[in-house]
Amino acid sequence: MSYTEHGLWCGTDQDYGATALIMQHDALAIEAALDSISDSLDLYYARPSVVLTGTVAQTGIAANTTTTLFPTWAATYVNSVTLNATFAVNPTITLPRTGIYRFGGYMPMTASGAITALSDRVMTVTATGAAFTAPLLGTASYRTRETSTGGERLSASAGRFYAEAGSGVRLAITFSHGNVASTMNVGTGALLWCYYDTSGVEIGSA
Amino acid sequence: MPDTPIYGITYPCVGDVIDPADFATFAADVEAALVAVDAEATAVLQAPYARCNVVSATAQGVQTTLALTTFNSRGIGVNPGAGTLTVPTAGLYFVSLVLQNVNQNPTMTSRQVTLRRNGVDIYLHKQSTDGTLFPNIQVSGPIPCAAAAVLTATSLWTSSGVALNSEVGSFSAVLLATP
Repeated sequence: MSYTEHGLWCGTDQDYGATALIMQHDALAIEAALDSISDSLDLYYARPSVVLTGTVAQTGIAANTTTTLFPTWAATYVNSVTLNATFAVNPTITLPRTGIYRFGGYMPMTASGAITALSDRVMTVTATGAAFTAPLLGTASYRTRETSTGGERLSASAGRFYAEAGSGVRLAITFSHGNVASTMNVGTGALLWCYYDTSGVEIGSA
Repeated sequence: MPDTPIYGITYPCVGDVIDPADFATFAADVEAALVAVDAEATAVLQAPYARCNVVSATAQGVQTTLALTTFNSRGIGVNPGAGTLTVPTAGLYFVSLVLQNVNQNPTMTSRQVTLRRNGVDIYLHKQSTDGTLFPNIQVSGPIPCAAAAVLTATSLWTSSGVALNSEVGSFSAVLLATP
């Protein structure tokens, strides 16, 4: 007997009388092949993804210090990604697929008073292993130097990292600024996001 | 005769007597399964999207929803005059706005763009300008949407000298994932 590439049984003369067995075998082989294709399509149709929103304003951030933002995150969108039990204060997620993920963050920002001319604001989004002390997987940062004297300032950035299925990743935003004239504040509505981009297998392939 | 658990393909077991009707049922079930997977593939290959050109003049100091001109789209409703994109299904959409600075206006003091969902800012980016450098400005990111959510982009700029600015750029959205 012989089989097709997807495991269907190609009956031959020697399999005479085995029709029911062939149909049984092939029904299950077709099912498995289609389910595998469907599973691959799900990578895009139901792409693993998560969006977390900062729900508490953070005020009084002094100049020239690095602050990890938002002890309180809420899940705004979750698709095939597992949030750890304490994600609100420790936004660790477990990823379902091996591949390359895009991630990023966003934060609304104001000064509590005057703004030093040409004060820097630096926002960095990091993805690390779940233990937080684990190696850095990816980082993305945005830096701006502002001259105006007040109003809302916001930053956003995006990066990529590679992770294996089942691995835990901790996302975080850190913020620092050089506005020595006053402290800075971060309002509610900050975002942390991550979504599956590609398996990576096409990168470097012939 | 039993069915397979996912696609319900009916198959005989050893000892069953097979007749042509069983082959017909088998073929019909396989065909239905192929149609189901083909529908998934079509959805992947034809994700809803819209890419619109922005060409308009906005007034100094007025946050303005950007009107749209020519566009390509599939599934996402585009109202060029109102500047709205209406998404067809719930999901996560990647939304992006980029504007050039075609005026090279030396009196411009700041520039701000936003991406809004149902009239509420989700992303905002603001940059100062110093009269000598005129960078393009962009804001983008994933936005969770319910079905029929309306996406818009706005521009707000300040100047010490001019009243109108030409906004030229692109506003786009594409479905990233469905829940």
